[in-house]
Amino acid sequence: MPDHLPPVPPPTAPAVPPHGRRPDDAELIRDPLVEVQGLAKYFDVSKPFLNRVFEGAPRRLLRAVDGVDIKIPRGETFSLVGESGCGKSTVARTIVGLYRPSRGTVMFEGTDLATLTRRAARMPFHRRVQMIFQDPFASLNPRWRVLDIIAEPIRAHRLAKSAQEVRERVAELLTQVKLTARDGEKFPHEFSGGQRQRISIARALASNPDFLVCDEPTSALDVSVQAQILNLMKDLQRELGLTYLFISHNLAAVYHVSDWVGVMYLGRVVEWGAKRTVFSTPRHPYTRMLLDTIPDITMSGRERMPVGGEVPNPIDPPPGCPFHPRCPHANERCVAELPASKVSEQGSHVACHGVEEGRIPTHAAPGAKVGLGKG
Amino acid sequence: MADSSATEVDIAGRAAPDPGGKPPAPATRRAGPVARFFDGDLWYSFKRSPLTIVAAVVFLIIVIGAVFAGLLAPHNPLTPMTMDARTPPFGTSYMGNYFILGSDNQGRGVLSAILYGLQISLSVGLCSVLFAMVLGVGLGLLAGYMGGWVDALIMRIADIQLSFPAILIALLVDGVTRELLGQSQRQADLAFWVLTFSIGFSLWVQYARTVRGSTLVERNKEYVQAARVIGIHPLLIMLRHVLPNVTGPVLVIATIGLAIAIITEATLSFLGVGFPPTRPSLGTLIQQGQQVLGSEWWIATFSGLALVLLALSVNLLGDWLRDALNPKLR
Amino acid sequence: MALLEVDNLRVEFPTRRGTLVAVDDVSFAIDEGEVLGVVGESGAGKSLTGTAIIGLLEPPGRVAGGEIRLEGKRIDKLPPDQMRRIRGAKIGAIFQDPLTSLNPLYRIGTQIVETVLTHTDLTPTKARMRALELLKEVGIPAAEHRIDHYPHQLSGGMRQRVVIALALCANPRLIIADEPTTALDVSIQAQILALLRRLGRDHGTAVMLVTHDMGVIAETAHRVAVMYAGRIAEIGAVRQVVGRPRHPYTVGLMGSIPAVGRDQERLTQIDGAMPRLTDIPRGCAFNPRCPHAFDRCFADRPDPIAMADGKVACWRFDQAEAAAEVGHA
Repeated sequence: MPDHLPPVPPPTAPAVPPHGRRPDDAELIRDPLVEVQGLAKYFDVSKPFLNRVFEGAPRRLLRAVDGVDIKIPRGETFSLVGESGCGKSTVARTIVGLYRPSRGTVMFEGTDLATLTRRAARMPFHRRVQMIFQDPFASLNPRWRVLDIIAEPIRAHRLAKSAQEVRERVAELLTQVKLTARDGEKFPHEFSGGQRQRISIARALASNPDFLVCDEPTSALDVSVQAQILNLMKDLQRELGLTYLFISHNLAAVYHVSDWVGVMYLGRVVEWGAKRTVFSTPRHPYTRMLLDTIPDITMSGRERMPVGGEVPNPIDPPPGCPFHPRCPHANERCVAELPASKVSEQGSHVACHGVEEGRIPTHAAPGAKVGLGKG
Repeated sequence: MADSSATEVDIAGRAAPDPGGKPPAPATRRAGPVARFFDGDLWYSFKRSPLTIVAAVVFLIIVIGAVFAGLLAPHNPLTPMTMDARTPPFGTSYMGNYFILGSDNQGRGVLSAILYGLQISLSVGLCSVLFAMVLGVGLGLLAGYMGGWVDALIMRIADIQLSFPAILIALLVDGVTRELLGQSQRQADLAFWVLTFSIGFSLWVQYARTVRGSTLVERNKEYVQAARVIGIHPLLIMLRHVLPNVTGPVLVIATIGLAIAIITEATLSFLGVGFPPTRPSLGTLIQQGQQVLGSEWWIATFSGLALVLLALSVNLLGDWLRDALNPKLR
Repeated sequence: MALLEVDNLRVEFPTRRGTLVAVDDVSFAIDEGEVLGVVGESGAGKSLTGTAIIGLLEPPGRVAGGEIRLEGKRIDKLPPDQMRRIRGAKIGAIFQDPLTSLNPLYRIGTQIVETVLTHTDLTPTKARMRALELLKEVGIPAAEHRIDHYPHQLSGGMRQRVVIALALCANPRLIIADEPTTALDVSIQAQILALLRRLGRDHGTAVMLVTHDMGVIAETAHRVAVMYAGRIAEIGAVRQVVGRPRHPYTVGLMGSIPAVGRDQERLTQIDGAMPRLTDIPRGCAFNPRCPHAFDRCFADRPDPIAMADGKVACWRFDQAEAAAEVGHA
């Protein structure tokens, strides 16, 4: 178990309510900015219509996201973490409205997005929810000047009265992301990856949004540049009171930026809760496995525990619990029955039969020894 | 020992871009569009290809000759004198007129006829390419961006049309139009639009396919998704974001398409469905010339040569453009 | 004598706007069974160093100076066909994207058997057994079954294992692994790295591990070279470089990496970015970003200065200070 991890400070214990039950972490989220309920997104990967008719090929669905419930509190950072193909990016894209959910709802400040059918009704949502993308080389139109790129949301939402006002606002945004007003005259190819990501952030901020969805914003960057961007994002959150949904496969970056963490596996959130709870007392076997795979930079001489197996194909996910083929604790029930998300003693939400039945003891949790032991 | 004041360099996030792992790109200097062009890769690869330079010079001469045909042509081929007919190259007619490339059986100077013919060939070529481009790019963009049944419908129509040879479509359109409009007095003017439309209509599929392909790639790029997140109208996204980024290959197809259009026009005129014999186009000239190839060889030969030079130079320019714009070959 | 010795390697790219020096005066050595990590940000020249050693620089890039010796013999000036033989027999290469190293038209077994036959004098039957052995060694489950699969039927992690098996065919003395785990998921990453480490331990294979990920280096390499703007900024035992970095760049780099369990409001930040090759500043290439730069850093380029457990190219550690530090150690 990862002895190399410095102790994760234990969660600040919430006040125990009168009935003696430990409150679940999510109860602390009283007024979520975004609430996702039973969200599913399937992609049709069937062969074309004529092939299906003549070859009798069945319809095939890729269940990229299959039943996700999360709440994102105002002014805080919620991270979704998982390996590639776990559906975390699809969740992000569905929340911002790039995909229409196959099932379930996305509520923004209590309004179900599906009810916003008219374009005019959606525009305020588009103004308030923006996105930062992974690839700084693809996320800016190569033929536009930076000024026009950043001005696009301002013009689309008519947030400035004159061309002069647009220019002033763009200059302000450029300074806010630590570029200069003169950079507005340049084209994207004249910037480095980190600088382009700053431009992306400036564009996302241009419409004064409340909620930023950041899809692997630093995965394509070098570490020193990643630090610059993560610092910038934290500064902006503090100054502007932004709410972030942060998508990443990098657990260390997630630990650094988040208040809340959800771990995804094959289209489902297997465990979510306050960051400290999940990192110090991970309950789901997959969460523990992920924490085990963090490269050891502290040179404790530990060998990483090699984990067998790979993520199965989401077109035919295994029956029952999707993690059972790789899970050391799986039994017949895990093979047969999909576990529902239950609140653990620690307050996190865990979808695991073993945890529910008490088969997987808490004390075996990797962080528990270090984290709670100290606390 | 460290002089800390020397380190106060304002570089917060503004140092030069990293060159990436590959051979680094030279820093781009900031300059006007003209200066940028002469500094760019396109001009560089042009300078290094003598064949392309020759093709460009030939094409330029042809264009100048065609545009200023009225000034440059030694004779007016629209008002020929029968007395000038059948003069061999470098010969003088009964009327005392000198013909460098000879004259035909109506007394038109071959050089003058070719210059006027080039004018027709180039304008029909350009107009039909423009027509095909607008139609093809528009439909391709729509098919690629919208996807679904719109895409399926447009691309199936394209497939069906592609299975007919271009000449056949042009003949068909030409025949139908003539039938509908009847033999008009202003046949020559009408012929221009019929040719333009029919040739253009036979060429759009290539644009549509190419643009659809690039659109499918661009549509999934993050800058297009960013525009969607901002709430930009799909039509505006197509026009302002996707279109400028899919025009590179269109330019190449257009250049090569110009050569095809010019040859198709000549072919149609040769087959007698293009311009009337009174209007000198390269096709009608060759057609007339080949009937008397035994005696007045110069008519078909020089018109044919002009057509070959035009088509070849355009094609060579297109080939160069394709290679120069293809980053893989650089 | 070290297995691989690289002395004052210089790689240039002639462009029409002048010659760019992408790798400048790089020297290091790798012993048998040793894993040398080469770490740096994109454009630091780490990959080009690897490509130069295996002789696969893409024109117009060329080795413009220095020497590369494998088992004491120079390999940087060899004609292409001799180099190709060495590449198969003595040096194996693993790249980031396993698909580029595998032919999609052939079964993986066929590809491995062919490579084995080229480099050994085994019979085809024996070669197939050897292929099976290799696949098992790199940890492919049900190897008897997978050997007849095509590359596209395998997952990314499996493909990378096959590439490693291919690189191992001729029992190479040196493996150059360029970002071998970057395209893979974390759980697979751990498996591949464990495999690379085992190679050095069990077969005495030397590994040059090129990566941008300090975590990968920290748990896999014995020694590490940190590259910046085409030069080695710091080289030494991994414990030294990762645990007690000396070069200001390494110090900044280590501080900028977030860690689970380390609570901090802000990460250490090195402002700016690595300079383009077209405008590397005079003196030390790191001087515009360095918090400790002084006059000498803007005037002269520091050469790696030998210290206990490694070398550091930084004027702060010139002779006097170095001697003092060695005395302490």
